[in-house]
Amino acid sequence: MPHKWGMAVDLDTCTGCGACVVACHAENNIPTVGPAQAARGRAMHWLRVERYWEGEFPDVRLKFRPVMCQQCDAAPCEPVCPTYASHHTDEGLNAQVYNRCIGTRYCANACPYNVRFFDFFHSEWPKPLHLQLNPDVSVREVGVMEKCTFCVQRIKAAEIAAKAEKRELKDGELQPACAQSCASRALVFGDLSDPESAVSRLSRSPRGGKLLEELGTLPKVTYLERQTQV
Amino acid sequence: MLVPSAVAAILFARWAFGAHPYAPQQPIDFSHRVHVADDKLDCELCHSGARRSPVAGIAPLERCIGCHKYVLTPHPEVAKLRRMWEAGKPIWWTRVYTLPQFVRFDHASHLLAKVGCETCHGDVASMDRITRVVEPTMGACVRCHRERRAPDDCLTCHY
Repeated sequence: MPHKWGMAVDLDTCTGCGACVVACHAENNIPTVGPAQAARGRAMHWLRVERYWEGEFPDVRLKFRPVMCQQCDAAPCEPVCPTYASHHTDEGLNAQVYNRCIGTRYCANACPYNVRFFDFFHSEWPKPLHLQLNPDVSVREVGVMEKCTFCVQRIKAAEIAAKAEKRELKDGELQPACAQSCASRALVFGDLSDPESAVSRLSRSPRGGKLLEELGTLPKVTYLERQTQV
Repeated sequence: MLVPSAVAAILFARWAFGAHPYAPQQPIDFSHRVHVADDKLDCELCHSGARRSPVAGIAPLERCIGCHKYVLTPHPEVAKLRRMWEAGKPIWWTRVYTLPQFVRFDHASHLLAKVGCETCHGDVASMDRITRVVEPTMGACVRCHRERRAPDDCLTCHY
């Protein structure tokens, strides 16, 4: 049975520290564009922590929500791509193939979650940061679209290692960079086709909900809403 | 007029590039034929990463010296090797097989699937200087993946 990778985000434990964002940037060679271009909406964060203030001072509440690509099963970004650079894999991943992408940006316009990012510039890393680039991930060229991949390089490496040892992947054996770095374990990654995996159990929680579920995109990321009234 | 000149250009390109496969001059005239065919050394003696990692790797100078401290010391190329060893300088071999940076290739998984080295690297045992006899193109990869019913999704190699 093919894997179906998914994620559960427990908003009760998320502290909004932003470690996942940093880990994601480091793991996936995501360039930064500087404050001027970020103000024009060209900042690239495959994963962002959205911040919501609620109430009036002094009764304010602060809520966080990490938002990454929701790896939709009925992804709006896929049918609009003229080159099939954005497509669905057998494992349910919403793939972006950089060398097929011609940069029409239709997918970013179609995505309701705003999690696709366009390389407007030749990415540069000031020395010595160029030495920390991850060799397992492509450095994207200018003019292509990029997005969260659920750290597909880690998935592939774990699958190859498991195959070499002639066994199935175990639950929790592999994690994307964001889940690995989450200090409060708010991000849980795993195989949704296995009903006993940690992510499947969390996804069945009555607190669980999907982002913009009413659009019918069938996201594979489940958010467990806050139940504490702080 | 345009079509015949295009055909001529293609034929010229075939002659120019096809007739002489890439075989760069290396810093030391290392012969794979002598080491593999005559001495019967295993590929993994020097390319030890192939079975357990994405990159096959190349032997450190230390491994060359391990044998050539005693073997064939008067040979001029071995003398060159020894001078580099004494100067503490690594050998900068010229890479023969390169892939674009948006391609991920894993040696370990191919050996696991019993795809022999010669599938992509040709009959190395008959080469004095390494020659790129098999062009590492996507067409070659996909053809082989389909023949062996290996995954041929884009995300297999491109991420």
